[in-house]
Amino acid sequence: MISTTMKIGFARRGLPLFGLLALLVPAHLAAQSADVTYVQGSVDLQKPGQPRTEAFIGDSMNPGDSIITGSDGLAQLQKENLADITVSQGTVFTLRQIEENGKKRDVLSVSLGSLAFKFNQLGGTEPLIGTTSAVAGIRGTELKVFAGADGSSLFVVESGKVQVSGASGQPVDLTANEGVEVDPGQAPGQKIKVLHGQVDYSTWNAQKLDALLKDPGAAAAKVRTQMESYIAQINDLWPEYQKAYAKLTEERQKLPEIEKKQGKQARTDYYNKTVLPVEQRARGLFLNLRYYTLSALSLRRYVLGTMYTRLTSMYIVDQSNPVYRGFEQIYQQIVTDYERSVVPHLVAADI
Amino acid sequence: MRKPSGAVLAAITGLVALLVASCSTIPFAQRPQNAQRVIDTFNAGDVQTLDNISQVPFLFNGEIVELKSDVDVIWTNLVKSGLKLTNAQVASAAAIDSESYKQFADTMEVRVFFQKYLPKGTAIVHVTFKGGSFDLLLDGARKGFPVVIGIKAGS
Repeated sequence: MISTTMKIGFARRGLPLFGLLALLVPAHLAAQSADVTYVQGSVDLQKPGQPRTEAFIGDSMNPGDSIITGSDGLAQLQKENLADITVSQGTVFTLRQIEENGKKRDVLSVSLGSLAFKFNQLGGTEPLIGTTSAVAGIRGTELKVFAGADGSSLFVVESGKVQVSGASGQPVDLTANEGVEVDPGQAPGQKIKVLHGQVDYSTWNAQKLDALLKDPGAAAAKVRTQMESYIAQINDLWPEYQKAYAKLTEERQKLPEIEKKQGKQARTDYYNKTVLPVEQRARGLFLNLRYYTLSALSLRRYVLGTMYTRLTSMYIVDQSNPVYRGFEQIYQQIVTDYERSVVPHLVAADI
Repeated sequence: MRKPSGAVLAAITGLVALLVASCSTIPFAQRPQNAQRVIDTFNAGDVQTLDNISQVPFLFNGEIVELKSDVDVIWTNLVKSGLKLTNAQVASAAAIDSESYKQFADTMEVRVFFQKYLPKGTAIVHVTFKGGSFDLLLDGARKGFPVVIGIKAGS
């Protein structure tokens, strides 16, 4: 699980974001990829900073990449022979990473739509499964994840064990034929019994959509709570990263002097004993700050943005309607907070 | 009536040729009559055609829309809302410049959207109609229509 006490970070104006990105990315790209093994209908691959392209069998999906399926699309991926991932229609699926207890861990993130996941082998490091409202840690698992139009999530376990955490409250442990819903910004709900094949995404999402249209202000308020939770993480991580980066710079500056006075071996020893741990901490903080920043971006784009476009187009000739006004007011608040606290941490390649 | 002289005829022919040539240099998406076809399609309630001539990523006000199904929802809702573009006229049509993004939203994401996803020569078309106005982002051509990349309407 992503501990709430794990406060992590990255580079804003004046700090070397791209330098750190360069340090971070190449080392684990090859090991962390997922390969496209099947595509059907409209399936696109979006790599950061590059134009969106049609996905083909054999394409590799690396951390930061997204698979976006159209209303007739389906994609299957295999992750390092350890896991099979089925991305259903109308889904935005992104491969992310987070640092946990000094180790990088993949997060298979579903911003919208549904995903089926089957872990084939015990003993490896299972990835986390994330949505815009929850994160699940898994153990030898076959599960389905739904991410709805209102930002809520449904996790359904077919085999193995899953622990689901929301933005607050206690995590919920699930075993086979159990499921749990998590609303944005909330703790996981009550466990429910779900028989194999009993729940399908279209029906579930249609219910979420109905509730959203009935009371868009309430749905937006939950998204605001979730956004506040991401912003709190970012605000905690950022100063820690700045501190770690300043320490790293200070320690690195000592190296030439040590070499000059005590020789190459002394420099190597100092680097391994003193500089490397600081470097690792800065990288971990950076990775996690990126994780929360990009999670906030997904929440804004795929949940709040979709709510906004749906409601604004619906109420285009009746924008003084109290239902729309109530939503719009909260929408503007979220956008203002997002612009102030999240956007400074984004780079053009994220858009 | 006196017949025009050869010199006058040559001048008129030259002028017509110049007009035709200058017209053909205006990109398809910036020609008012092509934007008018989008407006007519909207007024006819033809969501299918609007979907077909729209591309993703799409910009609706300050929001980047990634899924084609969401663009379909936008057109469907706009048509269903009862909005009619009565007496719609293309008030202006010009190529985007470095400041055009602000007409949609003055944010980093919209600025990057303009830089990253809009080809040079993309048209920003301002349309007025009885009771309001809106802006369209148009580029290229698809089945006789300009491709719609964005719309700014309402709040």
